[in-house]
Amino acid sequence: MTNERISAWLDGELQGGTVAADAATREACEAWWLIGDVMRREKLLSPDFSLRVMQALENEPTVLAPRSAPVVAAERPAANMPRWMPVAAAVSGVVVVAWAMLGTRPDQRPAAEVAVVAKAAPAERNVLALVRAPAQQDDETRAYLLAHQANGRGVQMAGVSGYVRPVSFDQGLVASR
Amino acid sequence: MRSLCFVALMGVVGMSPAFAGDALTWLHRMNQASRSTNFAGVYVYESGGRSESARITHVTDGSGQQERLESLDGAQREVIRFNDEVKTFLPSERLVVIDRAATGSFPGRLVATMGGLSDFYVIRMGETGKVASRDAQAIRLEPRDDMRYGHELWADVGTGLLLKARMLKSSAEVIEQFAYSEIQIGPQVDRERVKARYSRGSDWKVINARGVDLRPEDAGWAFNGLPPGFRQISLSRRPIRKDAPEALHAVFSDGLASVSVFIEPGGGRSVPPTHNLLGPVSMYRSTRADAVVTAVGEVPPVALKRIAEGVTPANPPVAGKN
Repeated sequence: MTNERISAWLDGELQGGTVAADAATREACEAWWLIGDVMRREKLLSPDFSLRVMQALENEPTVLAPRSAPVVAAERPAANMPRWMPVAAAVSGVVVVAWAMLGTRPDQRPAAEVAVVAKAAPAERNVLALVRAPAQQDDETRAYLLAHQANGRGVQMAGVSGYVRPVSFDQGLVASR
Repeated sequence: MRSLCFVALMGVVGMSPAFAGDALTWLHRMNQASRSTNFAGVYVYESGGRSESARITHVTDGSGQQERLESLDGAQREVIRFNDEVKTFLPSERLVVIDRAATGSFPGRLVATMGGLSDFYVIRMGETGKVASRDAQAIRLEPRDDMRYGHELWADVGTGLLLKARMLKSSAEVIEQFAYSEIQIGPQVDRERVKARYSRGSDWKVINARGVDLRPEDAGWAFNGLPPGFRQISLSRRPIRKDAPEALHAVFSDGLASVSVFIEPGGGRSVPPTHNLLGPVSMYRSTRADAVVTAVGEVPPVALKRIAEGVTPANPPVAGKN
């Protein structure tokens, strides 16, 4: 049942659920991500990360930045821009997202994840989704983004090319021919 | 007499198109202007609290369309487009990536007609205002389902050129924004400015990512259950990652948003279904019939999942073969 719930949560099918408030499910979520970490040879996040995130949710909407991401932490979202992004789960209420910062210079790339926290109505505080795309996954991820952006288009009908979106590339991303 | 009145009436109706018709006319103008107008400007791209500015120059002449984009902050990057060839210069990595832009003659490349767009978006005239000190008219496109995001496009009143674009999750949540901070439009744009600033030195590495076009029937895979309005606009076999076999790369679009699907041989490994959010672009990855399917696009994750999970082997399955 737990795995089904996680799956439903990831798929956005769990409506108004309280996945993360359920300790067993939260642990399973962490295990799920840890498995993914190992498979992708990513840097492990401390196991109590989501607990700390949840505690932070008790406070005002906050931008959480792990200690090793000073540049990004200094960048506050513009007033008219969202502080958070929709994630895999269309779970209503609070969403926590940590994603790889694209387009950062190699020397500025955050070594750890940046979690951006926002919250909706207080009653929904216990609803939490956590997704991360650690920095070390970037190389592979960027390869797909690069391929997508050259071939896809941003606002196609209006004639904007996909490459108006910034992406930083690393050497050896794409196979040489 | 009656028929004459009817014709006259039709004439009046034809001259005063419906409200949505006005908005569609603006979209037509924007599309046209992006190809036929010369312009040079600086734009600011913002997403998730980050921003990057770049200089863009676009010139159209007898030889076709040339475009140059140069990042002004963030990662150093220069993009030179000449018709459908795109070269991305990455000076800090001494790397040139050659790829193809989304133009060409693939069957169904003409994605949707403007009228077709209104089946999937509610298209309305928006407010008027100023962008980069120019008079601008906003057009709003609200999605009719949860398979796409909304858009707000501001066109230059004089030329129709797109001056500002926003992608929205809801009316209050901007996912990304692109807007000129300054722009010069017209024939006076200096053609020298589309020339590459960087030239490839002998120590630069060239990556040819153009790949080979395939016909849809040669894909070896079928794309079922596409979200309404999404059609395939290109199909190729191309390198994606270092030391990895070539991937099948199919691109789908509803006319505004586009989704790439990469199919690579799984080599026996099974990838758990994974969602990632990369700024405005989402990624979904799973295993389908011993192939790893990666869907990437500026659409809601639910749409990506639907597209990726609709990938099924056709007979005989040949995708991912070198």
